[in-house]
Amino acid sequence: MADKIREGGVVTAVNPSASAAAHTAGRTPKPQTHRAQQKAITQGLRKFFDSVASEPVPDEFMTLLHKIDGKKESDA
Amino acid sequence: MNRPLEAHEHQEAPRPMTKEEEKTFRAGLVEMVPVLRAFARSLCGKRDLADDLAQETLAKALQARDKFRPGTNLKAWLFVILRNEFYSNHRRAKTVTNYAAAESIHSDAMEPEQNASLDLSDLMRAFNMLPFEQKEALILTAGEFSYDEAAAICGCAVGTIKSRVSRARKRLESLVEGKDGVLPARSEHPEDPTDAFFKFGRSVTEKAP
Repeated sequence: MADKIREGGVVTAVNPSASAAAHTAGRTPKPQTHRAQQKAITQGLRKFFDSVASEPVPDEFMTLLHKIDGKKESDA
Repeated sequence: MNRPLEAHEHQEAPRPMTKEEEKTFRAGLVEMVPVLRAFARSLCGKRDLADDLAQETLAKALQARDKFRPGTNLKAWLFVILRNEFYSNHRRAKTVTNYAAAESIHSDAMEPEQNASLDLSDLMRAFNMLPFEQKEALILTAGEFSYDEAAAICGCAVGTIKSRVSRARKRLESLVEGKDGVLPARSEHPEDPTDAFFKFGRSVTEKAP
C-alpha cells in the first residue's frame, strides 16, 4: 500500500500547536501519526530541494550559460 | 563510455531543431539550472560535486539537443541525463554518504526552521544515508513528478519506484525517530536544537576520516 505522497503543492503535515509544544517541552514531540510523519518527510525533502533551487546560480555556471545562450558559440 | 540515454519517449524521432525550437530549448536549459542543481545536490550531498554534475549535464544536453523532442518534458529529459552522468562517472565513490555531509547540506541550503515532528537537519542526515536509488525515487516523487514519470526518468518499472519510495520513507522515519539507532542523538542542548545541530555537525566533520 504505497501511499500517495504527491500532494499537489504544499504538504500541510505540520501542526502549529505541536510546534509550540515542542518548543516548550524542549524536545521533538512524538510524531502524531505515521501518516503525518510521512507527510512531514515529503514536505521536508521538498523544502530541501526548493531551498537549493532558490539559491542564486553560482558564477562558475556563467561560461556555460553564455555558451547555451549562443553568445560565444560560433556554430550555434 | 557513458551509458546511452535510457529508453525514453523523447528519443523516438531525432531530427534537427528549427531555429525557433532551438531558441526555446536553450532558454529552457537556462531556466532549468536551479532544479538541476537541486537534483544533483540531492544525489551527491556535496555542493561542489553537485555543481560539477549540473554543469556536465547542461553541457551534455546542449551537445545532444537534437535528441530532444520539442514539446516534451525538458526537465525529465535533463534529469535522465543528469542521473546517467551521475551513475557513469564513478561519482558514487566520491560522494559523501555519511554524517559529515550534513553540515554542508545544512549550511548551504537550509533555513533554521523546525517542523513539529521533524527536524530538517535530522531528515537530511538520514536522507544522506539512503542508497542512491532510494534517494532519487524519493526526491523525484516528492517534487512534481508522478510515479510514472519518475520510473521513466530512472528507467525502471513503476512498481520499482513505488517500492523504493516506500522502503526509503520507512527507513527515514525510523532514522529520524531514533528507532534505527544509527542517527546519533541530535542534541545535548534541547532548548536550541538548531544550534546544537551545528555543534554536532562540526564535531562530526572534524572527526570524519
